Amino acid sequence: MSDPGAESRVAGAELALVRRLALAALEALERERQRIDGLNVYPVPDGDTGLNLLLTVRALVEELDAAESSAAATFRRDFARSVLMRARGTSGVILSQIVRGAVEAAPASEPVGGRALAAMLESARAAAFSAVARPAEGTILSLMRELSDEARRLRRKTMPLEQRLAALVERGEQALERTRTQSRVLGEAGVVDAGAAGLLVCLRAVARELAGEPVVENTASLRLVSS
Amino acid sequence: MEAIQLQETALGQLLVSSRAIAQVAERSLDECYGVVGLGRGARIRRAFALRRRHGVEVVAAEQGGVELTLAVVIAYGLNLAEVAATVRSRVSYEVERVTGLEVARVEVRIDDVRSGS
Repeated sequence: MSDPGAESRVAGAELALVRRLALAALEALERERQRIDGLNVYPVPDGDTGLNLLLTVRALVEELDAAESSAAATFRRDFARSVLMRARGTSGVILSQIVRGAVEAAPASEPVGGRALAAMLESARAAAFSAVARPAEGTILSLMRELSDEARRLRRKTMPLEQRLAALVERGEQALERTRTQSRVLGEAGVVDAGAAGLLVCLRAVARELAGEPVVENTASLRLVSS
Repeated sequence: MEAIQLQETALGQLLVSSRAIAQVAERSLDECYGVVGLGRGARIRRAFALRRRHGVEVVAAEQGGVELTLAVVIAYGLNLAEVAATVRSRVSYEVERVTGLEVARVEVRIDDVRSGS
């Protein structure tokens, strides 16, 4: 029998996995928050990017907790809206748009393969870019575009999801480094973009959690500040 | 057109037009996340308020500095208060950075909400 709500319904096991990944991102942001705050020189040097991302991801985890008991047909839409409403600061609002785009394109039940991941990141990119008249280069948006490009490049290759995410993290590291030269303000301050650094912290945490790697911070590979 | 004093020197005043300040504010608005358009125009409070069709009004504040009114269209689905707060902080930072004038007051008026492009 067909169930009109099946496509938006999220199974308990999937929700538990998403929650585990979100929690890994939250813990990583808690560790990296001050470092991200310290990078925040653009657009307003008020040093709150790390805090804004942390509060936004904390709200996201709370929304997942609240949803755990109910598998409503409107779960995806309600969840995405709640995160948008609770987002903090510019970087938090953009992150919540990325989450909305990814959630809208996520497959209903089958595992996330190359094409599905590419579709999720393309939708995330489109959502992120949809709400700004003139996107500035060297921001979290530039990183999002490169992640989406990388997922599309790899979409037909056969590889486990862990390896796919590892490739995205690697591309993300390069894209983050490029923000120094994409923005004059960042170049003069000698830093990478704070919002992009925060998004990469989240992605790296998710990739590690999925791969089952121990969460040991490899400071040398973070390259958040110029050496 | 209204001219706002930047500096008073022995050789004379340095002035900047409110139009120039509005241009700076407009450029900054275009890059504000959540802003997908400019409003129909700021409320006209004085006869010499300018560029009403572009949604930015600039007037000299009585106690020095400038007052800005920004009329914007925001992307549907976003938290309006959060976007308005970031617009205020970003535009006033940019106007202060470029002109050196104090931004005494910023009013953000959300004229409309629509789906992003």
